[in-house]
Amino acid sequence: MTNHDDSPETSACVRLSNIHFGWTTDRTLLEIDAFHIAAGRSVFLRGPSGSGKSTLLGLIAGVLTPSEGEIAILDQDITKLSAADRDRVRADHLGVVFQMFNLLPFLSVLDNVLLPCRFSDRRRKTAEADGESLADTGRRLLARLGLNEDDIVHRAVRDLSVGQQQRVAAARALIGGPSLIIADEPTSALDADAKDAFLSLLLEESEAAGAAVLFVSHDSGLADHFDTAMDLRELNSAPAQGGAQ
Amino acid sequence: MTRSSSLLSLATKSLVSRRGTTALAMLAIALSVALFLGVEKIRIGARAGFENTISGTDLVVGGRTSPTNLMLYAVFRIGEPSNAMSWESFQAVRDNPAVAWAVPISLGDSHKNYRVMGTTPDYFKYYNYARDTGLSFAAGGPFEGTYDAVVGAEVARALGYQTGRKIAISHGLQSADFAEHEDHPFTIVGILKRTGTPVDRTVHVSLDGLEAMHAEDPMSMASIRPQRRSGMLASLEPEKDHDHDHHNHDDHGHGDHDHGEDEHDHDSHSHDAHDHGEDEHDHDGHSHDAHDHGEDEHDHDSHSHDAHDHGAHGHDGHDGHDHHDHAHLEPGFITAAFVGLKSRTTVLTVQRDVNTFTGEPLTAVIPGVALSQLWGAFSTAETALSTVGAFVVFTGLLAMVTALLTSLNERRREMAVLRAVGARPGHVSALLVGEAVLIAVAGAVAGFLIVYAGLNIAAPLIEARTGASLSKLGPTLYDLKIFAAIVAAGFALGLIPAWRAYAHSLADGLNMKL
Repeated sequence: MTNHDDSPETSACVRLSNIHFGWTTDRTLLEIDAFHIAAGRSVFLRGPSGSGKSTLLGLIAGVLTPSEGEIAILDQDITKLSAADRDRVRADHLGVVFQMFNLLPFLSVLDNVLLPCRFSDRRRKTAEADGESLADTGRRLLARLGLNEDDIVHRAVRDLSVGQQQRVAAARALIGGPSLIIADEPTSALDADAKDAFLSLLLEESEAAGAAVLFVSHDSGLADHFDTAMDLRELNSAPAQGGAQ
Repeated sequence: MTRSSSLLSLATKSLVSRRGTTALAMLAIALSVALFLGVEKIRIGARAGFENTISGTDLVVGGRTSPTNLMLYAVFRIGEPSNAMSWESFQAVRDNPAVAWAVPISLGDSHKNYRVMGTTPDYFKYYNYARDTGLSFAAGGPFEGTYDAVVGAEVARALGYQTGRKIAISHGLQSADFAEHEDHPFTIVGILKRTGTPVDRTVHVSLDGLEAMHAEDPMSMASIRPQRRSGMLASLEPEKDHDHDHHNHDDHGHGDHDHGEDEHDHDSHSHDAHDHGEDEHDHDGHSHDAHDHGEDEHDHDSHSHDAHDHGAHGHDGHDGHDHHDHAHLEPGFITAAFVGLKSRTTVLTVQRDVNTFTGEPLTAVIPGVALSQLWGAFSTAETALSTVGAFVVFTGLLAMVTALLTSLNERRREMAVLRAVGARPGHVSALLVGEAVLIAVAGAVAGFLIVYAGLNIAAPLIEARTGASLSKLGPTLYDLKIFAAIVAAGFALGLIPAWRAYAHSLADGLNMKL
């Protein structure tokens, strides 16, 4: 997939301006003057736990709102949207990969991959157009991520290895041409080989799909895979403090 | 919409994946619903059976008494005899221009603990039950001769009677075999089909036969009548001197019986004084040594209502109502009459006419109204039953809510995943409500199936034994309402876990609470 948005390559997929966020009004946890991810680019964001990573991802994903500032997804300021509309933006444009437990245990592998299509007509239509059918697109995506037909059809998600589960999660994040993949420590549960393999696949497929990637990890060793690397502690001008939660 | 159907399919898959707890929750609901619905079916069936006891009769007329008492005695054959009404009064009612038909009934005797009812063949033509279902015969037909009898289905079944069988009638309601008029057996000429009403437990004989029998046996009626006081007894006696009660009668030439009915102090039963007014012979008494009276009786067969001769038995006693000796077997008194009108619109008018009848105090009851009033006495019990049933269902639904709430904590990851792929908190709530409704629907369906299956299996047995038709207990609009109410309650209770899930997903966002 390439950009479905008319924004040129150079335009920002995500742009944060003058963001202030705190769980309580008197303590600011995040203060980011400017941060952006260009369309199709991959960004590595390093930050130890407690540095506000999850909070930042929540802001970009639209489940949190800043007390001040602007968050533009594809040039649309989501802080001005209703919660429901932010949910729609997320459904339409974002793919999320968590550290683990990404999958719904009661759905098949393929249904997990197709899950975003249940909540976004845009993603569903795009995915349908990508292959002969929705299921076909899902299977092809899974195949490219190294899951064979047998894994897809006959195994329950809980029977998959952690590495396989993460690849299924990546396929889910990628389906239907999202503009941005948010990955929150997706490799921390993987061993070194699986880590590299996963990262390579994720970045290849994201690039093929034209999706930008925001990869958050405390593991600086992975930074080389990305177009850009930065440290959240440098980005965040709020005084350092305890955990986000 | 695709979204909602999509959520429903998610809910289904989620439930299936937790099939253990889901099945238990459904079972709890199914059993509670089955209990509730079963009780409702029984309650409704009982009510329908009750209200179907009599139909097509516009008025039940009897001597002045309470409507409830008249209905209980005349229709259900329960309780104390009501006051009798005189034959003249009956004729007056029958001759009312608005009246299409009137069937007299006379109660007070028994056969092996089944009530004996004297009536006319018209009874079989006009007595309807269960929404204008007429009586029909399993064997034989209505009586024609004086000593013909028609028995209800239960009587025939319990006693193994077939047509042609001769039976004896006891005086009074407590049957004592020895009190039966063995000399005057009635012959069963017809057996009625089962109706599920007191008709099944009734031995019907012709009014003539009853009169004749009583005529012979001075005491008999007496016995009965005591209670009815003035009414019946009196009636019969006068003319027919039905005091056959052989009791004591040894001595009595029926003449002796000068029983004023008044005397009927049953208690007296000290038949020592065989001279008692028949009255005394309270049934209990009937020490029918009597059967000696044979003589008298025999005459009756001939219908020569010699009886009248017995006039002797001074009916004087009859509180006032001294009836007249009517022509033969015309009874002096009857217990009640079933009346059909030419037009139902005149029912209130005729009822008033009867209630203000100048000849003697009478009571006219509209059966439908009286049945409703009677049933009203049970309404508290009905309400209590329904309420208990509803609470049981509520308990079943609470079990489901508990199961869903318990599952929520371990499902917070699922919620975060759903949020991540674009689900709104509302979708997460809807998922849980959907699960609750699915469980409620599945549980309710299972509960309904249990009840219907049970009814289908039990209905033929119950119908064979009681005549109560359970066919109308099948799915009804009311069932549909119950079903809808259960699902609605499941929905409402599902809002509890849904609200919790909503709060969780707002608080958790994309964070995985492990």
